[in-house]
Order: sequence, then C-alpha cells, then structure tokens
Amino acid sequence: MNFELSQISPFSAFLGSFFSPLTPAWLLMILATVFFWFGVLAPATVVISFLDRKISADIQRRVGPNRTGPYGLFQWLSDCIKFFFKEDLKRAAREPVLVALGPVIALAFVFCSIASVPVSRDFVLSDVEGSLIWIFGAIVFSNLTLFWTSYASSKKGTVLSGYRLLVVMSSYVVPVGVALLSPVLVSGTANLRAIVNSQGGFPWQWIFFHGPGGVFSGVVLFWSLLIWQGRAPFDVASNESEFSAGIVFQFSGVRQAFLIILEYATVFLSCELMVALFFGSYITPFDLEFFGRGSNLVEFICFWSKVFGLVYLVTWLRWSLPKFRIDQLVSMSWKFLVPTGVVGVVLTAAFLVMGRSLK
Amino acid sequence: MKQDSIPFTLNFGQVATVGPFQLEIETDGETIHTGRPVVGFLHRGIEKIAERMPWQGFIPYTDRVDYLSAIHCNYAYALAVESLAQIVVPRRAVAIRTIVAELNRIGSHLLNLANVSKSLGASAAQMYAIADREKINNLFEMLAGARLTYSFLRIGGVAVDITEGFLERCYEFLNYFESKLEEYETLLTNNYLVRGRLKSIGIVDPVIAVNAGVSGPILRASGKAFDLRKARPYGNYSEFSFEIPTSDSQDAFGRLLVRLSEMQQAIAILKQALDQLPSGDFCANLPKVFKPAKGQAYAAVESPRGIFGVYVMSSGEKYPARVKFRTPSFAALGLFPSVVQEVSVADLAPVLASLDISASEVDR
Amino acid sequence: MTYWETLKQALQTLQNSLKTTFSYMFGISPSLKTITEEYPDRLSARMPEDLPLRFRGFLNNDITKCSGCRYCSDVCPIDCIHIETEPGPERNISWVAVFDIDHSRCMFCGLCVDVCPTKSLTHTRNYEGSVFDIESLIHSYGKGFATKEMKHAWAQEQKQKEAMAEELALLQQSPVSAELRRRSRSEDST
Repeated sequence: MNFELSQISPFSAFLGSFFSPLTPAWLLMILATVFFWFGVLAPATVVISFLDRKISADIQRRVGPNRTGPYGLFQWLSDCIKFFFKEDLKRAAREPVLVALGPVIALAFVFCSIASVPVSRDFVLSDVEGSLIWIFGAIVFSNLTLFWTSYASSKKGTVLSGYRLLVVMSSYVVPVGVALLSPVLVSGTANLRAIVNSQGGFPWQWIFFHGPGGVFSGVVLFWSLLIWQGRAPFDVASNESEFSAGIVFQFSGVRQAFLIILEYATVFLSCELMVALFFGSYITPFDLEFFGRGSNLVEFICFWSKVFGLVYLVTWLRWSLPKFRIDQLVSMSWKFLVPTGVVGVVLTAAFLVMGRSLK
Repeated sequence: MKQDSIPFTLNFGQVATVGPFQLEIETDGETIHTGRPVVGFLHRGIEKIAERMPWQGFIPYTDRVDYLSAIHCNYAYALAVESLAQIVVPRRAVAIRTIVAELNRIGSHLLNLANVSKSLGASAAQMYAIADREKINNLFEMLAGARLTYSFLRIGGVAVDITEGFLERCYEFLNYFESKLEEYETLLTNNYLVRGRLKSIGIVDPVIAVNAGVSGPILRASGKAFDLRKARPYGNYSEFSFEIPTSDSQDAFGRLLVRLSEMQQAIAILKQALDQLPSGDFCANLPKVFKPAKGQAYAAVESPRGIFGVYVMSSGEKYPARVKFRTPSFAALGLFPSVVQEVSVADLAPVLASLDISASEVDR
Repeated sequence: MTYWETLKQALQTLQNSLKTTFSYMFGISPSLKTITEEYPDRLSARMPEDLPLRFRGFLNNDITKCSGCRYCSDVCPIDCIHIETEPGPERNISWVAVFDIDHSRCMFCGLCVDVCPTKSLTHTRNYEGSVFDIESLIHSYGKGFATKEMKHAWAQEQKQKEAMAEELALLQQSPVSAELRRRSRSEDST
C-alpha cells in the first residue's frame, strides 16, 4: 500500500515513532486501533455508564451501585459478565440477517466516527480530509441500520418504534446540519483536527464565544445531537415505558449489550463533537513545550475534563426532564431549533465579515 | 374496525398499569381507535369470604379490597355495621378515624403522582413522591403496627389509642410535606413539558362521568364539585373547614391539579383535627360474640378514588349474610373506552395513570 | 400562546427543573439526603430493635400465662392457630398441650393479640423469618402431652419459681427483713 501513514492515521505514525522504522504499516494500524479502543472508547463507555447510574441515584435519593468495588466502580465489569451469560433470544424475524446485523453495523459506524475525532494532538486514529462531513453521514447511517433492525423484526411494537426513529432522524438532520455550519465558517475547513487547532486555549478563543452566533449554534447543536441520538428524555424510539418497547429489548445477551454500548458511545460521540467544534477540545491555555512528547497526555486530560463536564450535564438533563411525545419533538425541531440555527449561522457570518477572528 | 387498525392486547405490567388487567386496543400505529379492558384477574372472592367470617374478623379482609386506601375501606365497612347495629362511636375514636383517613388520602394521592410521573418519564418526581410516601408509612407503622394493610379500625372505634409521640411526628410530617408540595408544583404543575403532554388528553365529559357512576377526582376535574365529605358528611367532617378543589379542564392535567389541591386540603383538615383531638374512649364496647339484629345497611365514604360504599345484610348470625362493595375504580375503568378514543399511543400510559385505577378494587 | 411565551416558559421549566434536582444531587439539607436503607447493614438499616413498639411482627405466646381459652383461634380469620388442651394439674386450669401458630398462613392482623385475656399472646418485632423448609414456620409453644405426675411436678416448679422471684424482689428492697421472713417461714414448716 502506497500511502503516507501519517496522513491517514496520525496516531499510527505517532506510535510508529516509538518502534523501528521497519515495522509494517498494517501492524501499526492494528496496534493503534487496539490502543485507541482500550484507551479511549472502553473507558468512555465505562465512565458514562457509571456516571449515569450514580447521578440518577443521587437525584432520586437512592444509593446506586455500591457493592461491586468501592463506590460501585466495577459495576460495568459485572454487567459485562452478566451479558455474556444471558441466553441469546432468537425471535422469528422476517429478515433474520438484517435483524442480526443491524446493531453490529450501527455500532461499527459510531466507532468509526469516534475514531475520527481528535483526542489530543496526535491521538487521531483516522484523519480524513472532510472528517466532519464523514461523521455526519456516519451518524445518519447508524440510525438507518437501527431502522433496518426494527423494520425487519416481527414484533409490532418494534416496527412502530422504528418508524418513530425515522421521523426523528428526518426532522433533526436540518438543525444539526445548520448548526454544524458555524464552526466550518469560522475555521474555514471541515476537518475536525483543523477546526480544533484553529481555536485557542482560553474561553474567549473558543468558537462557542465567538459572538452570539457561536452560542446559538452551540446550543442548537447540543440539543439536536441529544435528540438525534435518541437519548432520554427524548428517547421516543427506544421507549421503555410505552408499549412499543423499543429496539433494545427485542434482543438479549451480547446483542443487547451492543445496543446499550451504542447508546453510551453515541453520548460520548455527541459530547466529543460539541467539545471539538465549540469548546476548543484539547487546546490548553498554556504552552506545552516543556512536556515534549508528554504534551499528549496533558492535552488528553484537558479534553477529558471538558467532555466529562458535558457528559455530566447530559446525564443531569436526562433525569430531570419528562419525556417528549413525537409530535412535540418534531414541532420543536422545525419551530425552534431550525430558526435558531439559521440565526446562529447568519450572526457568525456577520461577525466574520466584520473581521473578528479567533486568536 | 377501521381500515388499517392492528389489534393489540396489552398484558399486565406493560403500560404502567397498576395491577393485573388486560387492555385490548385497536390502533393504526399512532392513534388508538377503540379500547376495552379485560378484568377479573385479581378476583379473590372477598365478598363470599365475608359470609363465613365473624363481623369483627372481616376487617383485615376489607383492607385488601383496596390496599392503597385501606383505612377508607375499613371505614366504610365499620360505618355500615355500626349503622346496622346502632352502635355509637366515641368522639375520640371518630377524630382518630379522620386523622388516619386523611393521612391515607395523602399517601394514595402520592402514589398516583408517582404513577403519572413514571408514565411521563419524569423519574425525579416519581422517586420524590415515593420517598414522601415512605414517611407516611412510617407514621402508620408507629400507630397501627403495619405499613400497608393496617386493619386499624374496629366496629365501634379504632383498635388502639394514639401512641405517645405520634402527634409530634405527625406535626413534623405536615411541616415537611407542605414545603414538598411547592416542589411538586415546580416539577409538575408549572412544568411546560408536563402540561404539554397532559393537557387535552383523556377528556371525560361531566355528563358521561355522572352516567357512568364516576366520582372522586375524575368527576371533580370535569367540573362537578361533588364530595361525599360535604354532601353527606360522615364522621366529624362537618366540624372542619376545607374546600373542594375542582377544575374545568376535564383532562388528565386537571386531575393532576385536583389531586395536588386535595393533598393541600388534607393537610388543612389534619391540622385542625390534630389540634382539636378530644379525649375519651377509643372504642365502643361490643359483646364478645357480636350478633347484630336482622336488617341491612349501606354506608359510603369518600376514598381517594371516589365513592367507596359497603352494603351489609345481617340475618342475626355471627357472620354477615351478605357484604357488597361498591368500588370507585370499577366505574372509572368503565370509562376507558370513551376516554381512550383518538388518543395517541404515547399518551395511553398517562391517561390510564390519571384515572387512578386500583385493580384490586375492580375485581375484589 | 405566542411563540415567545412558549420559548420563555420552556426555558423557565428547564431552569427550575434543573435547580430542583441540583439540590437533591448534593443532598445539602437533611430533607434532601438519600433515604435508602441498605439492609442488612446495621448502620443504615433498621433492625427489629429499631422498629416502633407496636410493630406487628411474628407472634409469641408466653405459655406460663396462657389459659387455653381459645379466643385467639376462634377469632383468627385464617385459622392458623391450632390448640389442644388437657385437664391440668389443678381444677379449672387447662394444660395447653399443643399451641401451634402457622406463620406461613398468618396475615399479622393482630386480632388474636387484641382478644387475649391474659395478654400471653403478643407480637414481637421480628420480621426476619426466612427458612428453607415451610414446616419450620409452624412455631410451637405448647407444653406437650404429659402424665398427671409430670403436670404436678411442673406446677410445683412454677410455684417455686414464683416464690423465688418474689423473694428476689424483696431482697432487692431490704436484706434484713428478707432474712427475718425466711427464718420465720422455716420455723413454720418445721
């Protein structure tokens, strides 16, 4: 394969700098993927699931998990083990292949999107030229594959919830697309790494505070991503308290675990995107020459603290608000989010024309 | 059946149903066209059991007719038997009965609040309501020894006198709960999302309600101010000053408002009752083997769900000849077909929760 | 409602809901703290000793006071009390041979406790009754079938126990008068 490794996978190139120059590219890729998986994805899922349970317990005056490890820190481990031992229900579906493939492909798309988001200056598993557009498309496709799953199943309730998923997806494409325009306008590129690098470390150098346009677009993107990904209180599609019972519960065992991990991975992806596009993901206010190669670690910590704050907010919102009905969601999108997004883009463009720049 | 309707049978536990009953609905995916409840799964033959139980010994069974408002079920039965046998209840016993009845009303309304919140997905409000209800359970544990099925009333009065320390704990609870009610206002009444979901669903026309025999908060939320405590006062309710909250909106949101206001009124009654507690006996003296004279009697109380009535017939024996319960949830469940027409599938759970149906009352 | 009113109300709802749950998240005042009791952790959960005195737990019958009148088994709505009596050591006193309470059927209504004339049947505050074998839930308080001599011996023993208890009470009041009383009693018997 004749391509420059550092171009398509800066992380592999970074890892390659630790080994001899003769190591083959594919080995470095695999190593990088494994490293990324266990260093970013797995902790993210674990932390978000832990936060979900503990924050909900605090709000509801309960205790939450506290037996598996101190403060219930190893609850995720016992959950994993539990899922492996569950029986794999094989329901007679109209298209068994689609039903079985659906969760896997959806999860694959989401993982690939997470791999494109920069976590620190060298930790980007795959840096595509227009990575923002690729991620946008990947999220749409992951929702579509979930729709296959529900459409092809044999339970009436699941088919209905699949239709709801389509409705939500089609109404929220527009606000997300419109809100994504602001960062692209400000930084002049659709490459996530470049968008992050165009921001600075201090709050006034973030795109979020680049005039009122940044605030509007940021809020619209945050809200729309939450709804698009089907996170409660907006989970009309995988609703547990209604009789459609949703997509997650027609499976059991590891397949169900896929869908649960999918939910946490999409929360992580939404927060990552928000942080990268609007809050200057890993850029620190101080100079990092002192650390040399370790500057990656410092930026990693900076990134994680911002994502952690947003995840806390997302979880807090989930347990404080009642659920929306589907017609309320759709009307909110068209009546409030789209106009606000458009106003945000216009204001951002106006600020740019007036010559204000970020750094 | 409409063109593209799919028939569904919702089994127990699927839609925030309180208790085991099935719902057969026909829907085209988003709107429900027809609905029909299927009941009878919790039938235990309580009315038949009464025919072989001594009069006083039947009281624990009346608890279980509607375990969520057990005191009111005891109360109606005790009133019926007392009017049959012409027993005079001492004043202190009547006052204690009022106190526990109003506490039970708050507890039952809190549970309904939790159900409605759960059906809406407002898990915070649900858990707070359950936590506050635990305090009421603790009060009852201190007084009667049990947390749900109290068997606290006896024919002629109450089982035991008020414990030391109960009055102080009661006042503490009332102060605590008044501030919590403000919180429920924030989380539910003034909540734009809750209003958006509960308004204009589950409309109950007042004429249909009266014809179906519906009473309680459902009737009061349809505009008719009918409360048995004011219309045909029993116990010492005529000595207290309280209002009957109503709402003209006829929908699920109106019922939520009515129940919240009823809890407020219950606090007012409790404060007056606790202040004016008379001294005296806590139970009338009954003969060891209680055999009321031949005859029949009917008594009704205002339970949290509506009019709860008990009819007793005696043929001079140790056991009743017939006991019949007139339960409010039976009438409310009969409203289900009319209330659920053209309601979106997502709104089925809140509508059902707002009707406050207790399956054990429906089936007895 | 107009567009702007809707927006304002939605934002206010968001703010108020978040504020309310925020105060519970960090549980500052006592009425906002966690209320879960982690049974069987003795520090946070209530054990039988912490329950109110009136709590209707498992039943206990003090067989020395029980008169075998059967009021409790008559009033029980579920017929879970099984009593068998014999003529006792002295006239008009029953020997309660069998007194079984089937706690697997008992509904803890308290009617039997209310009606007991000697107050021998009481509720304990114990609620922990898990067993592996449902027959173990039948608690027997009876004295068992006995011959006439055994009954007399038991009656004598009871009298002695009562006398000792009385003497102990007196001793705790005044040792000197107790000694004098004992001497006068021994003089009487010889």
